[in-house]
Order: sequence, then C-alpha cells, then structure tokens
Amino acid sequence: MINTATNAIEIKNLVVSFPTPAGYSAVVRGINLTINPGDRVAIVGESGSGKTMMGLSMLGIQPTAAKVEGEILIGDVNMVTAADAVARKLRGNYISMVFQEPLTSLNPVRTISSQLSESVRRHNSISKKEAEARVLAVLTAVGIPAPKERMKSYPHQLSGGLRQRVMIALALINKPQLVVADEPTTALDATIQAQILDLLRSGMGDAALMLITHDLAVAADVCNRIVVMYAGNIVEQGPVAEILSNPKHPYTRGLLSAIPKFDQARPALNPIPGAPPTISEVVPGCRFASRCSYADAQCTASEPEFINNIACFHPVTGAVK
Amino acid sequence: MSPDKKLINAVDLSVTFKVPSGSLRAVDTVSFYVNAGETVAIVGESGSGKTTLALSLMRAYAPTSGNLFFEDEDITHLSEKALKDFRKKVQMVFQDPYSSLDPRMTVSQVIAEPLRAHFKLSANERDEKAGESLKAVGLSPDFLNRRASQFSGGQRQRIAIARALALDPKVLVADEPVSALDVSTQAQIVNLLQSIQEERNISYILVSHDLRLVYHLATRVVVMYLGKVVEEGACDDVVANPQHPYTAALLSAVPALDEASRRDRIVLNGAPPSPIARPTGCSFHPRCPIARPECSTNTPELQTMPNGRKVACFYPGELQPHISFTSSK
Amino acid sequence: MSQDSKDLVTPITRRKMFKSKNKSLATLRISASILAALFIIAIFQPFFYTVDPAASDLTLRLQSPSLDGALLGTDALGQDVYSRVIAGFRWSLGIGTVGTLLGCLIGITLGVSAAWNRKRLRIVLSRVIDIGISFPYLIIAVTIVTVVGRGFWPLALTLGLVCWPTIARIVYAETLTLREREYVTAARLFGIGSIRSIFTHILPALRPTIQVVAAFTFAELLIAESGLSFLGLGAPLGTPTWGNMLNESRLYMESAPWMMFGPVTAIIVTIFTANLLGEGLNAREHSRSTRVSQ
Ligand SMILES: Nc1ncnc2c1ncn2[C@@H]1O[C@H](COP(=O)(O)OP(=O)(O)OP(=O)(O)O)[C@@H](O)[C@H]1O
Ligand SMILES: Nc1ncnc2c1ncn2[C@@H]1O[C@H](COP(=O)(O)OP(=O)(O)OP(=O)(O)O)[C@@H](O)[C@H]1O
Ligand code: SF4
Ligand SMILES: [Mg+2]
Ligand SMILES: [Mg+2]
Repeated sequence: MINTATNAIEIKNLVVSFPTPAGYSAVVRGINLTINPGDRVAIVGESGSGKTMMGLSMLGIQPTAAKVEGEILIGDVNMVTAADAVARKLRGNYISMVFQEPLTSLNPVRTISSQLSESVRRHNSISKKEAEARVLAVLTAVGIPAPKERMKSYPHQLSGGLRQRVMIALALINKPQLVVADEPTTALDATIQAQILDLLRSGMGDAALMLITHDLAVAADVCNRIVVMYAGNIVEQGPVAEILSNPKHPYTRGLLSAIPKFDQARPALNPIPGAPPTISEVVPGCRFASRCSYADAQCTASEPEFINNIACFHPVTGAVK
Repeated sequence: MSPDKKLINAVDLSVTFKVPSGSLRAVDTVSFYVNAGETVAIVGESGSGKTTLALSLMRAYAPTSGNLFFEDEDITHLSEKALKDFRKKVQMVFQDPYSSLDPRMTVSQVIAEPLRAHFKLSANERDEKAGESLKAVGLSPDFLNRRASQFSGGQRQRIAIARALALDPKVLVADEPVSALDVSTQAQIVNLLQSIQEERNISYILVSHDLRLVYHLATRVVVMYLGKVVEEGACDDVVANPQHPYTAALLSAVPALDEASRRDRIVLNGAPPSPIARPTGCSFHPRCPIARPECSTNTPELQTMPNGRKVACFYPGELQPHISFTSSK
Repeated sequence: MSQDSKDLVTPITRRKMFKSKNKSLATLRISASILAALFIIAIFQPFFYTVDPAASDLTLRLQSPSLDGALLGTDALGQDVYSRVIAGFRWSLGIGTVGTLLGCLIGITLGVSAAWNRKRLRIVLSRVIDIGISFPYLIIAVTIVTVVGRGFWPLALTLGLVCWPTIARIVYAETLTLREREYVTAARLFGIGSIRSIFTHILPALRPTIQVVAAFTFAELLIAESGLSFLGLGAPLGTPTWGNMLNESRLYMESAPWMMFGPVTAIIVTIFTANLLGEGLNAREHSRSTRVSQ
C-alpha cells in the first residue's frame, strides 16, 4: 500500500498548536526531521519542549484541541491530512507508540491478554488461539516473568516496570516499521531500564526507533543520532559521538552538565537556571536566551535559524568540562 | 544529640500483603536504621519492596512482624493517636508531584495542612509559616494563594518539599523524589535537598533507582532484592567495590555517556521473579551471572564483613562492573 | 524553524474556543434559574393564588378553564385547580428537597464510611447498601404509613429511605478511588485524622458528583411522590398535592380533563428542569476534569 523504500518517516515544517485565550500558540514550531529505516533517533529536551506532541502527531493521535500543520510523510501518505481509516491502518501496523504513562494508556478493566490480542486481531485475520500464542510470545520477549499467569492480570495488578513492558509488547506486537517510544524507561530501575534499552537498541528487528527522553545518557545508550529540542524547536542535532564530545548549543551543554556523574568530589549539580518560556509567551529572540550564559543583544533581538544542524548565534566548541 | 544516634531503627521488619493467590511478603525480615543527619538510600529492583519498606518505616502499614523504634521508643504497635509526635518528626515526599498534592487546595492550604494537624495557629500565623517554608524551597511567597494544579512538575515537587519541611522534621522519607522530573529540574531539586540538609541537619531516607543520584546524595546504601536486603554499606564503598553481583549489575546498568562503561556492561539474563513464587536458595540465583549449583539450594545469609559491610552472597566481590569515576577536585 | 513567532499565533475567536463549555454553562444557568423560580413560587405561594386553594364552592364544581373565571378550571369540589397546583409546589418541592437531603445524608455517610474502612465494617456496610438497593420501596412506604400515618414528614422520610442506596453506592465507588490518592495517604502520614481527611480531601472531591446525583434524585423523588400520593400512600386526602390532584382527576378523565392538565404540566416541568440541572452539572464537571487531566 505504501512505498517505504527511502525513509521511514519524513517530517516537514511541522507545527502543532493549541488554542489559548490569545489565539493559537505553537508547542511544536516548524520541525523538519527525517528518520531512515532502521535508524535510532533520540529526541532529547526538557519537559514541555513539545517532544510528546510531535510523537503523537506522527501517529495522528494528538489531542483534539491541537491544530497540526505541515507534512508528516509515511511513504506517500501524509498523516496530517490522511483520512481516519488510512491513518488507523498505519497505526500499529506501520508506526506504533510506547507511552509515557503506562497506567493511563492501558484499559483498567480489561486483562492484559485481551488488550494485546485485540490489537493483533484488529490488524490480522487470525484465530483467537493464534493471537494468544502471539501475545504469549511477545510478553516473553519483553521479559515479563511468568507471562502465562500475568496475561490474565489487570493493569493495576502489575508493578510499574511490568506495565511498561506490557506497553512495549503492545507496540511491538504487530511488527511495525517505526516505534515511537515516549520516555519508556523513566519509571524503571536500572537493570530493567538497561534491559529495556537493550530491547529498544537491538531487539526490534528492522523497525526504526524514535526515542523520546530527557536524559542524554539514555539517548546515547540506545540511539545513533540525537536531536535536541528546546521550547518547540530543534536546536541541535548530530551523531551521538559528536553531540557528546562536542556539543555546540549552550542548551545541549547545559543538559549534559546537569547529569549527575560518579564524581568522587560530589560537587553541586549544575542545573540550567530558570525555566523554559510558557507556550503562550512571545519571545522575540532565541527562546533559550533568558537562561543562556552566552546570550547577547543579538540573541534577544532575533531568532537564530537552524543552519548546519544548529540554531545558535554563538555555537561553543570543545567538550563539556 | 550524639551524631550516631539511631533515629529510626527497624529490626527484622516484615510486611505481608494478602493477595488472591496467597500472601506476598513484600518486605522480608529487613533491619534498617538511619542516624541523625545522614542520608540512607534504598535501591533495588522494581517491586523489590522499597516503597513498602519506606512506608512501613513511617508506620503507614502495621508490620507483620519485627519491631520499629523511633528515638529508642518502640512504636511498632502504637495507635495513630500515640504516633502523633512521630508523625510530626518524620515526613514524606512522594514520587508523583501531581497526585501527592490535592488539586483543589491552594498552595497555602497544602503547606499548612500538616501544621493544622499539630498546632493551633491563627490563619495569619499559618500563612506566615507556609510562606517561610515556600521561601526555603526557593519559591516566592506570592504563590501562596494559587492552586497547586497551576504549577509545573518541578515547582510542585518544591511545594511538596515545603509541605514536608513545614513541621521541621528530623527525618524526611523521599520515595523517588525526582524520577518524575527532567534532568535539569532533577538537578535543581537535588541541590535543594542537599542545601536543606546542610542547613537543618535532617536525615534523609532516599528511595531511588538512579544510582548516579544515590552516589551523589547518600552516605549509606541499602540494596534490596525481592524484599530482602542483599547488600549494605557506606555509599563510596558500595559503589567503588560492590560485593553482591546484583549491586554490580545495578551499577553497571546505569546509562552511561562513555563508550567503555556501555561496552563492558553486565547484562542480567531473565526477569525478576515474582515475590509470590520466590526462587529457592539465593533469590538472585536464576539471574546471577556467577551462580554455582549450591546457590539454588542454600540460602546465603546477610553477613557482616570486617569493614562493616553487609552482603548476602556466597561469592562476594567476584563480579565487578566497569564504572568511570571522574573527579573534579 | 525560521518562522517568526508572530506567524505561529493565529487569531481564534473566543467564541469557538468556549463553545462547548458555553453550552453546558447555558444549560446550567437556565435550569438553575427555572428551578429557583419554582422554589420562589413554593415559598411565596399566597402571592400567586387567585383564590384560596382550600375554598370550595360546590356551585362552581367542574368548571372548564376560562380566562375570567378559574384559569385552569375547577375540580369536583369546586376548588380552583390553578391555585391548588400552586399550593402543590410547596408540598412537592418540599418533599423532594427534604427527601433528597435525607437520602444524601444517609448515602454519603454510609458510602464514605464503607469505602474508608478497610476491615469488617466495609463488608457489613456494602451488604447493607446492596440490600438497600434491592429493597422494594413500596414496602417501606406501606410500613411507614401504617405506623406513622400519612403526612409531609412520613412521606419525606419514606422518600429519603428509598433514595439513599443509589447515592451510597455511587459515593462508595468514588471514595474507593479517592482514598488511594497519594495526597490522602500523605495527609495520614502528617498525622491528620480520618475525619479531618474526609472533610478536607474526600467530601470536596465528591461534591460535583453529589450535586449531579442529587439533581437526578430530586427529579426521581418528584415522580415517586406523585406516584405514592396517587396510590394513597402519600399526602393526606384533600391536601393540595399534584399526586392527589391526579388521583382525584381520574374519575373525571372524560368529563373534566382539565383537572389533569394542571398537575401533569407542573410535574413534567419540574422534573424536566431538575434533570436538565443534573445534566448541566454533569457536563460542567466533565469539561473540568478533562481540562485537569491535560
Ligand atoms: N491539551 C493541551 N492543551 C494545551 N496545551 C497543551 C496540551 N497538551 C500539551 N500542551 C502543552 O504543550 C507543550 C508541549 O507538551 P509535550 O507534552 O509535547 O512536552 P514534552 O516535551 O513531551 O514534555 P514532557 O517531558 O513533560 O513529557 C507543553 O507546554 C504543554 O503544556
Ligand atoms: N497494597 C498492596 N497489596 C498487595 N501487594 C502489594 C501492595 N503494595 C505493594 N505490593 C506488592 O509488594 C511488592 C513490593 O512493592 P513496592 O511497591 O514496595 O516495590 P518498589 O520496590 O517500590 O517498586 P517500584 O520500583 O516499582 O516502585 C510488589 O510485588 C507489589 O506488587
Ligand atoms: S549467592 Fe550465588 S546466586 Fe546469589 S548472588 Fe551470590 S553468587 Fe549469585
Ligand atoms: Mg512528554
Ligand atoms: Mg516504589
């Protein structure tokens, strides 16, 4: 039905906005991004930077209040304008999502197995028995202990870690080409996070991955490309090694130095001061300027364009500390 | 108060829940203490009983067996009424800053709530105290009359901390206090917790799965697996030289920025067993990279080593992770 | 990326944004105003009479409605139907209000206690609620009328005893989830007692639900009141209530159909308004909770 030869998804000038008393305000402000088959791209940024809204729009499941403009091309289908039936067919089968909050995205009154097998049977004409076998297989693959018994559980009976595994199982069960994983490991502890990151890194067959996270270490762990978002814009992108060893945008550098390290001196952590602008706040210059130690008059006067993979008037060179 | 006085001291504490398939021992004969001014971290697998332990240290559950002491007084079986003084001195910060604040309340009502439970104060006095608390966490007292639901996650967690500080507690139990926040906000809250501790000499009991944070904040670490303590020791020591293979795996699983840590990662096979069907012998043996046949039949007891470290493993120290320490000194 | 931030703010009319919210608000306002008007009639009813509703003049019996005589006609005793319908407001709304309040009091108390308690009390109370729901209410009505006799308070009591189980069950279910909220646990760990916690965290959170349920219950009680009076289990004979008037009109259905018209209209208007109020409250609450969850 669709041509998947060149890339998994291509996003052109994507704008997502919400109505506010002052008019529509954009939370995703004109993003261009291409993900190739098998690619593992991390979207990194603070809370509220628009990562989830971008992810949701890619599946065409943004909140009803949101207005989405631009193009999201999967083969020759534009998810922004596609008919409901077309978009629904692509969801699950071609592109699927692992959500940030597993408890609110699972139906509390239905068993794990009935939710998973319904998803299988919606896209494949197979018997109930075959569907259940597939459910069991995928639950085992995502590392759920005693999957046979757990299948009959309800979401609230599982611990947070298990629920997230169920969510990943739900995303993988129809063997999609692109999985959007929105903070899939935020609630998990280290060894489970490592396993799930492992799963995302190498257990997904040919599926491309878009991993949404606020932790650069998690991004570096799983992905080969990092895209840094700030307040609705992409401010820097590049291969993992490049971003880690030579981050150019002051914001990327701020994120890197905020990560606690195994530092024997235990110096105070380095948070980025202040908070990002609210969505309806009109900022004339660079949206990071008020928190940036490199900002000057130019930064507060006009907005830097995204050129050569960075949107900053004063790119910095060299590693962070 | 002498520096090594045990504020909270749990001896062989167990907590059992009734579940449809029988009973579930979420905390299994755990001994735990916290001294004045120190930070003890509880780390471990999801479902290993960290939250249950933290809550039972606060007497949110009556323990199934064992004893709980606060300042040398046995509070295991005290009634809510008799616990009043304890409730004043031990406060909690929850993981989710959204569900831990009543969305219908204003910030001043939120912070004044514990005050109302313990003091008869006029509205003005309460507001004043709430304002002070708010300042202590770096928020403007102008926020007092706004509703808690109007704030961001980081601000809400500050409000939750302000509420916990309002009674000037001796112990603050923080269950994953920053895991719902993004890295930059995490750093702000962690710095805040640290400066509060320096000012007030509060003890922290910190539940966290982020060992980078634990290393940064804790003086002592307790590692739990399936409801039991498998390793305990000074934080520096445990991180630099983990004795239990689970601790080693936990350390090596920390998402790392450097290639080497990632390459030499100890990846645990299998999945955590359920506490309903606990494995025989060492509970960790089905996943342990260095398990021997005897591990599945004999149960290693928690042993105290000469340097005060405790570990429950037949082959302590055998498995070592690759960790890149830095030093900014 | 290079887009000017001004381009991203496209104008949107306030009206469009608040349209759905406005609709539910309008429903709410209109129904609340009508209901308020009805209550004003009930309280200040003497001002609305054309003649004394109790005065009977057998020479004027079964008069058809006319603009210069009896507005809605007269009944078999020659009493003015219009004035009796007005008099019925006090009785019906009073019974509905008292019954609903009583039902809410019992229902909330039992529902919250059952949900709050984790031990035996919960099992006992949930059974009580279950039994209450399946209990045939005519039996309660007959028993009370036999023991206490007919009148305003027996009837209000009956209706209160009839309507609480539904309220209790809804309150019970909602309290169960509210009790698990972290801020409720937090309150307990600050040393805040159960009663205070219920008053500060649970009841305020239940309020919107209770308002909706109360509005619908009120409507139901109006029907039940008319029904019971109609069956002779409600108001004392001769009292100007809509149920009694309906009952009396039965015999004259063909010869004096207007006797029925007045009370039926009053019943329908009041019930419709109360239902509308319930729906308006419900819609408002719904739009609120979706906003909060974002
Ligand atoms: N339904 C909505 N109505 C109005 N604004 C919204 C709505 N949903 C989200 N927003 C706003 O859109 C912005 C972007 O939200 P988004 O969830 O994409 O952020 P994020 O980068 O995923 O953050 P997080 O790390 O917290 O998940 C935020 O400022 C948020 O407040
Ligand atoms: N109220 C309860 N009733 C029954 N079982 C419970 C209850 N609370 C916790 N458990 C079980 O007890 C065990 C320990 O749970 P706990 O929440 O303490 O784990 P945790 O270490 O905090 O995990 P996480 O990292 O996922 O928060 C789990 O198996 C859990 O399912
Ligand atoms: S006792 Fe055996 S199985 Fe358990 S942790 Fe030690 S080596 Fe591994
Ligand atoms: Mg998000
Ligand atoms: Mg927990």
